[in-house]
Amino acid sequence: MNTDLHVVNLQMYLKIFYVLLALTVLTFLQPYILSPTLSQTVVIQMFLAIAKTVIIVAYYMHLKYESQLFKIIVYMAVVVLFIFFIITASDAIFRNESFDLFR
Amino acid sequence: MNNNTPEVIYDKDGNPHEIVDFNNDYTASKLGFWLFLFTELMLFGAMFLVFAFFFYKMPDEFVLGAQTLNIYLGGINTFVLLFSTYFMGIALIHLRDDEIDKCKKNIYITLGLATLFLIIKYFEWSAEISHGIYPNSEILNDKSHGEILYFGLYFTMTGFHGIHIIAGILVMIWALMLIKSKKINSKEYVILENISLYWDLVHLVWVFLFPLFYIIGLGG
Repeated sequence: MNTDLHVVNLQMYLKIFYVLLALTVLTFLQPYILSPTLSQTVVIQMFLAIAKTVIIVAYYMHLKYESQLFKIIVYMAVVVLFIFFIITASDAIFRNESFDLFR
Repeated sequence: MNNNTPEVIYDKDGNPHEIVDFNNDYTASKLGFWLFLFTELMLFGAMFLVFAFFFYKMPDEFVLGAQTLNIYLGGINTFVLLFSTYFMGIALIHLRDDEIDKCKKNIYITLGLATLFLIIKYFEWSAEISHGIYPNSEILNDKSHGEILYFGLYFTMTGFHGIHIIAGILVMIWALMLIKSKKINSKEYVILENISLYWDLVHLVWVFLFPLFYIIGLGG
């Protein structure tokens, strides 16, 4: 049986919960505190979302305490998804003509 | 087949090794579930990819669409999911500590919050539909291409997310039944752990859905 999961306890869950709560409140307040352009809003919001994702995956999904096998396959899945985004981004950014699929 | 006869395999030097096999493989159960989570990642990842592409192409129209959504209902739902993942997580800890009653209580709280999420979502969708905004409605079809795409993605993605919430509720009820019949206990808890992983993924999807569909209406 897996014993390393016993590192995960109630105090740790509560602490992580407060961190996530703070980040979620920040998500809300960001457009009011800093009222930047749309692209800045998107970048800050995605940064916050990725920070929350890393914390959730590491602590709530216990990946930090899993074996190397689990970590590697999760990294690989993220890398594969990232490749799709990069390829599509190159299409979105470098396509010359305006989008005319609906005309 | 006689189960008492040991099964033997031979390595490349011809040495026999007895095969040790067992059904409740904890690590394999979890590994299998992570593989399922990756298929979910591909499902939602592809939809976010489509969103990113069209958001880049027509940002102004997406913002226009986002401004018509009720950010408070979406915001409350963000906190509802955040709280529910916390209670789901500590349900697992209580189960491992053999505190079955506390574990069940926390699963019930999670169930309640998941239902609350769906109720709020119901009011949110009802408001939009009562304004005549739903896929292929006349009012929506008269809007710009970007807004049609935005609302199409909005209904598809929050709809898929809602289906995942419903599935989560069903597997939580199943877990409660297994706890009652003692098939989930402080030694055999991998099913509840996997359900907890699933619930965290449902939360993760919302972590990205909320800023992309709601908050962009405030910025810029």
